Amino acid sequence: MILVENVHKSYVYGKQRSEVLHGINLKINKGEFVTLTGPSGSGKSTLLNLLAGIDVPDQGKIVIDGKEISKLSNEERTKWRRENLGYIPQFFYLIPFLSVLENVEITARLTKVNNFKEASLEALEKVGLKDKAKRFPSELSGGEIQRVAIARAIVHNPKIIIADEPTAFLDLKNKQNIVEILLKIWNEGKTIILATHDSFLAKKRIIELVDGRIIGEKYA
Amino acid sequence: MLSILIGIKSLRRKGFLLLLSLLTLSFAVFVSVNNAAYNLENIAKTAWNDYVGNVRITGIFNEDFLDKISKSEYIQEYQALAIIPADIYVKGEKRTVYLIYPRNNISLMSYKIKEGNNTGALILDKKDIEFGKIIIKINNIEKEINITGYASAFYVFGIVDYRLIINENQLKDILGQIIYNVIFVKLKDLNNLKEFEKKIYDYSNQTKSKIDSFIVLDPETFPGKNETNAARNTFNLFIFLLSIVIFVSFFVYQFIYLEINSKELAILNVIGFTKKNLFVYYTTPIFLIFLISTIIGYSISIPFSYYVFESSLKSVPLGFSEIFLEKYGYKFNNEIVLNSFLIFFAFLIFSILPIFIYIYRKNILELFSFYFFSKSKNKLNIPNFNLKVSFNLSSGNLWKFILLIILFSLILTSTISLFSIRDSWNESIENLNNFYDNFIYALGNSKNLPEINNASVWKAVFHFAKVKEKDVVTATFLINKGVMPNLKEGRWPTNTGECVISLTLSKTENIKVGDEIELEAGINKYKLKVVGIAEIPLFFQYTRETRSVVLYYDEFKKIFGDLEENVIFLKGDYKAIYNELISKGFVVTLRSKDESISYGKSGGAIAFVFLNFLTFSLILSNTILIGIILVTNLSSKIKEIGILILLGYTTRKIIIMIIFSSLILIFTSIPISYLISLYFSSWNINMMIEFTGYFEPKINMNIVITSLAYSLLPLILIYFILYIIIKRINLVKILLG
Ligand SMILES: Nc1ncnc2c1ncn2[C@@H]1O[C@H](COP(=O)(O)OP(=O)(O)O)[C@@H](O)[C@H]1O
Ligand SMILES: [Mg+2]
Repeated sequence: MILVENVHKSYVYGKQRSEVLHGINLKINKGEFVTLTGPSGSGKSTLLNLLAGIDVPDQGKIVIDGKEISKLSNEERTKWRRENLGYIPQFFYLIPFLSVLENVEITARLTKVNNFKEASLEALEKVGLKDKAKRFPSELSGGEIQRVAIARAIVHNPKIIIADEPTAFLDLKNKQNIVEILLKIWNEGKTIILATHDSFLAKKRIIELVDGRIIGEKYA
Repeated sequence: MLSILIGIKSLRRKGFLLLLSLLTLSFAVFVSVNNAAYNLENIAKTAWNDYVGNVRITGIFNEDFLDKISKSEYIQEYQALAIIPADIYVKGEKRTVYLIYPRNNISLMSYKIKEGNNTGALILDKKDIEFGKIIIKINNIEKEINITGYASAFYVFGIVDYRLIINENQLKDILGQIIYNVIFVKLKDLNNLKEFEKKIYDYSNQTKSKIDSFIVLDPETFPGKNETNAARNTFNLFIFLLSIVIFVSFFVYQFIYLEINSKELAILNVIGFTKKNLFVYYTTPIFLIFLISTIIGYSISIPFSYYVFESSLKSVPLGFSEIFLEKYGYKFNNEIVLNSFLIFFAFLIFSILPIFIYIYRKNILELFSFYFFSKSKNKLNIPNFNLKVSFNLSSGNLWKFILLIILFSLILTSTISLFSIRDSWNESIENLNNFYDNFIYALGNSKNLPEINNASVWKAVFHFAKVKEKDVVTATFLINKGVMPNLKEGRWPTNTGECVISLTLSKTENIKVGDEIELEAGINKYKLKVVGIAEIPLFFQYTRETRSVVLYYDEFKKIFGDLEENVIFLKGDYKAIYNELISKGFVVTLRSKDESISYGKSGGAIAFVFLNFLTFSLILSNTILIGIILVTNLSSKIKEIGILILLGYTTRKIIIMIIFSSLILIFTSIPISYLISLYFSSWNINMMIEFTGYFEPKINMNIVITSLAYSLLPLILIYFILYIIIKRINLVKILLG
């Protein structure tokens, strides 16, 4: 279970300090599929970064499965993240000098997955890229790269998967393809938190964020 | 115009400040070292000749003789000196002293009063005697001398503890009359040498003076010449290495700069920058930085160059004195600035080449996905995953990896060489001084020498003769009772026309037993047959070896006259001989073998000033280079590292991976460096510190390990910087683009 309590976050830009999140309260149960929508700049990424332990709130707390991650040190958060979380970033962040398979293997090795090679191939199969395992990122299309990023995020079987606009730079067909894959993973019993500003991609529990505040919630 | 404008704006990039300071510093050092070396060479040549003139005459001369000389049409300037060895009592202890009276202090061989006045005697160099009356003893008669000041002069005539400049009255009081024993002359025209020599002998007959020797001083042969050469060679080597370092770092910088900004290039191209625009945009800041750094570097070099010049003079204590500096007009040579500017400009053009090729040969699609160095990544197939990641974090491709190996090998090579030279240096001094127990330096007429067993007695002159165009020490022995230096080959000379040469001379000029050499003393040349090769401590106060020639006594006397200095190498009990020498009126300085050895080793300090300087600058410059490569490589992979952290790599794990790949680098470097050092260190000896004598440096495991420890220290600093960079990675920023 994920508990977000009165979370505030501001950024200092030059001499100016501007608050991006103004007291977010949120509860996400295990196994939920949550879509975070809202216009660009509304604070979706900021919130996801806090949930993933990439950053910490200025005020308020974030408790995940009983652990207050906003209180952990940087290194502790890193270790927590690698065990419990799969993160799919907005841009195509693959390591250019590693092959597709090796990019997936990184997480598998880090979390000491048994038979990490098979596990990685299996994850690639889930996203439909097993046949391209030996290729390098520069030889893939945008949609394929994002699917590798998904494989990398699920290979170690984490409980929670966070995806920050994974579809932003893809065409319609690829967008739908990515969301389908995410739904498939969700069906295996994972908690999924997806941020997107394409409202037609929003699924299940939809939380709308505007100017750093939750303004509404609905189910689809 | 727009490209130039945003080019200027791009100077805000952080990396440029680093480049600016590096370039400024390099230019300043480059100009300073060049200029200092130029002045060093100049001072060595001009100051010495101005100071000593071109003829030295020894013997016994009275005022009548000097009268004749001062009226001689051939002479431009001259100086007459009375040099009297004596005992001196300092704080109750008996020491030795030269009392020196220069007849005319505004001519050659002048001195400079630094404190007090010359109403009494002046102390040279040492300052542990206070002003006032002090007791001296000459020919067993005690006299009182009043000391009234300190002075500086280049009066290096032999091994004594003190040197005092006395005035005319003091000389009269001591000798009862005024007689001189050395005269230095500067001729108007060197072509008149023969006629002048003849005249001098006429004068001595007419005035009842006595000439022992008439020696023409070679303008190219001066004390401190070898040291100056060594300094010059070191500087040359330094400049050479510095040039390589500057060039390579500039070049590497350009590549990495492009690598980091390849996407920016592509975007600019997309919005309409032509290739020419791009080229102008990218080279504008480089040219500006170049201009600014040469201007600042130039202004820094003006004071810095004088500092380098002065401190290198001071690090050669034997060869120079302040009096030289006084006479010498230091010049800042603007031609050197221009040359340095041109050399740097050439570097600049070369380093812009990659930008040119990069921009003009790549098409826009390639720019997007192209990483300059990672192009070759696929060729180098590393099977191990961890190895692959760590290799990419530290270098990224074979080309950079090899460069890193070369740089680290250079560091290791220099430290190995330094340590091996130091070790062999100490060992060679010990071997050289092993054949005697005590060393006695006795000033007095050798006809009065007592009967000595278990000893050999030597005489030597410095800077008065040459073999194959280069300065040699010329020596002879008048008594040989078994205690002789280590004869490597052949036998000692038993007749005129024969000689033994030192191992250094034999090795540096490739002369063997049976060869014939030509000894050049002034305008005379002597043909000598080499009958033996020996390791002889005739240099640096008889503790070290150098290029030297040992003649038969009669021949030595004929060329150089009979000297008052008697150098005695003695085995066994010395007390009886020591006391007998004193009772016969000799002024005696005693030194044990151990004292000699430690003195000889300390002399190495001069050489090590240069060696340390070189090693230090090599370590520094290469560390900077390695640092630049590692840091920029890491900076260009900051996003990848960000992802690794995002996926759960800890900072520690990443730094361990980088260090791991560096270990491969280090272990590859060791055998390479070992092999280079073998050659480098012996080449170093002959080329750079040629005045230290010949020896073959050895390299053992101990030296390699010590060197490794020293070479790793700067690397640790780099890793610390890398650690901080990784620690400061801001994941949020990376993720938000
Ligand atoms: N590192 C940062 N420094 C300053 N401002 C930031 C930083 N990251 C985000 N912001 C600002 O915070 C606001 C919310 O950004 P973000 O969370 O990325 O929104 P979204 O993901 O919904 O588009 C934006 O106005 C953005 O400009
Ligand atoms: Mg966002």
